Amino acid sequence: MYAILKKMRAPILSAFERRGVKRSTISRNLVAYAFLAPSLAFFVVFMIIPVIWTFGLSLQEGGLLRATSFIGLSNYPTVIRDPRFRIAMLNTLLYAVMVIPAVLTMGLFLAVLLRQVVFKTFFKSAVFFPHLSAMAIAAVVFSYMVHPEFGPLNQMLRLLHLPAQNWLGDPQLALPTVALLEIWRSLGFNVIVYVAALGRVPEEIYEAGRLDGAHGWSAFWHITVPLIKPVILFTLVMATVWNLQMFDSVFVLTRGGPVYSTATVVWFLYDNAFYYDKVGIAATIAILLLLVTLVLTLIQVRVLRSEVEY
Amino acid sequence: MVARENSRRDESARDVGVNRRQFFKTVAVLSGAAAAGSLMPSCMPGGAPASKGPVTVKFWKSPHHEKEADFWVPIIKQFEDAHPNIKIEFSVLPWYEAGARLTTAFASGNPPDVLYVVDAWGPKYIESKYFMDFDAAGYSKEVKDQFDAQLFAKVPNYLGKTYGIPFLGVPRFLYVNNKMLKDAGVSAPTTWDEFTKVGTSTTKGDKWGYVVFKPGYWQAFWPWLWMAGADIMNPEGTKAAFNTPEGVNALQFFVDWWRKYKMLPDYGSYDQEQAEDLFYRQGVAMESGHNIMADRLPKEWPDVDFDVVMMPKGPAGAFSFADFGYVTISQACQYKDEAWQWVKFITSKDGAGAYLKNVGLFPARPDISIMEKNKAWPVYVNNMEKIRGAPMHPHFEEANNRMWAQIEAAILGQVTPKEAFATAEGDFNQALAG
Repeated sequence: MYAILKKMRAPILSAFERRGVKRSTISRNLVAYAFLAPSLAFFVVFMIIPVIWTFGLSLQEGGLLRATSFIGLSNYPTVIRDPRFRIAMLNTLLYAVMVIPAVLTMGLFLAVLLRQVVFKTFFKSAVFFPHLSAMAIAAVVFSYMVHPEFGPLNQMLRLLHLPAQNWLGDPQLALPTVALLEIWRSLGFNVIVYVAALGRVPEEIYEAGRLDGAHGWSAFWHITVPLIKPVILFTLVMATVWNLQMFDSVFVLTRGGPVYSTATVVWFLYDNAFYYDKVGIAATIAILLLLVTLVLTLIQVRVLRSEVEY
Repeated sequence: MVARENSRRDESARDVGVNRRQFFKTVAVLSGAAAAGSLMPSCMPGGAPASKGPVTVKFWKSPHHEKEADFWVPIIKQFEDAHPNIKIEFSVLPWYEAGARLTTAFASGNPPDVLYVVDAWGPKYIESKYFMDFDAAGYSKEVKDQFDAQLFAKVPNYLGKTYGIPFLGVPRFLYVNNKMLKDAGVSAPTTWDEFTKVGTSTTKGDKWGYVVFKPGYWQAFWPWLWMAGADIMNPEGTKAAFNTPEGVNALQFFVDWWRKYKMLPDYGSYDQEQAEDLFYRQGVAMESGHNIMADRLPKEWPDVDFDVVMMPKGPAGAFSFADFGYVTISQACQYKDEAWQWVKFITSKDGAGAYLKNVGLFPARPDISIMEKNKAWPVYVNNMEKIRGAPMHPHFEEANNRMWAQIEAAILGQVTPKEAFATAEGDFNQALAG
């Protein structure tokens, strides 16, 4: 190994020297790359190779239990033509549209509010707590809250003389109900990130703004939002990635039903991989989801990209 | 003092400081060691049977009771005392992740040695040769005579071969609340018409006539399909058999419980535990239940006046559903004879009896009687020939899920039963074909 590195080092050094780069700079960079190597290796082994591997699996027919055989790109039209996949993709996008704006706006609103209240630490902990709870437990508790007969949500509706709802059994309500659970659960993460971002905005900028007549909403819109835009972008991208991977609450609460109304892409993927033993189909679904996520993330980054220094 | 500390720190830094050559050398040595380490398991005879000392048999089972692990402690101890050369390593396999865990365990080559399997799960593992052939090993003939011949030939059997030993059953019969029926002026139903009459006349306020629970609603539907004279799939296991006039009638009858008679709580609102609790709290007049309910009711809910009866007779007779479980050995198990000793013990009268008396489930062996003094017991024992199980097919799970989505659509009024079965038939056949 050492001999290989030694052999590799000499031509690298001479190549850079020919291009006018100082020998000391090259040596320093090599050491830097050597120190970066563990992280790069981790990235390659756990990020890049699995994606390539998944793509390779998407070209196969068969399963984890059965032998696989190469079938080229045939799985892609099969999956795209499958009405269950199209429903699952639509549900996933609808779900993301319901959850992401809600957690981002409510998160920011609560973060601003939290900066102005007493017992900040207590309220921050209270808001963050649902994020720490295991999804399976949260979902079980939530299923009792929305139970049509003895759930407190319907009890309240009855007190208000409104008709009780079958929150998870009605195809029109099931997806928004599952989204509600995810909003409750992921709000805390966004609040904490926004609280930290708001704390980094220098007070002098607000003072300067006040001299120019920026107060309240105007200060928030013209000072706070532009200055925390990189953080908003971060939370938006993270929320998009997480919510497009929506699985656990569907798995615990509805198993994709009724009539596929809560079926999401990852739920469909999971069933194909582990219950139906169709690993090629599951890998194809994963690659298609990756592409959708990538496109949406790139759009978000392009639209919201900004450089802020303060 | 501070100066001395700094000087010591400098010395220490010099001690641990490395030049570039030493750095690369260290990386090279560590990389070599890591590479060698990663290769080692495949080179070494890891896991090979030890020449001396006890061998460990890994046993996985999904829970039939909240104290599942506790119930196995004395059984394992009794076995280990009698077999000092065998250690049993028991793991509870949660139901909700059983499919995924087993698939990954088998696919990764690290399955349990012995596992409990619900009959319908078997075919996809058997098709891929992950379960041991008990006939070829000569194990099945050792114990076959101790079981009901029909049950033994069906439960652990796939395409004519035996892949395990029957352990327990979960047959469902109709539980009725005598007080609710008496108050409504009706008696336990014996026909379909009587069933809807009892259901509608006992549905009042927050009391329901009947309840079916999630997940696994299909188990509540299948008996009605059979009683109507239809079936889930053909005997060859090649295509759907439910889309017939009889099958559509069964679905229409099933859907009407919600849509026409409104004798059931909202679709999707009760899971199994909640549905059983509803019966215990006298909130429902009828429920299709397994014998754990009959075991629990007199002990924990003595005020509930109940009876267990056969399902009401339909045009083709009276049938009910049961899933059975068997114990099998992985093909990859390295200690098959030791594993067999354990399987033989836990499916014996003593082993299975000790477990089933605790959980209250129906024994697969005829010589175990767990609740002979319970009035429900004769109903279970005398009607076993009217019990049917899930079809055995490696792709049945997917086919059934597709079928059920269409049945749900009919229950929710999105399509008619006829339309539901027409769509379901195509979906079902496509899934069966793999």
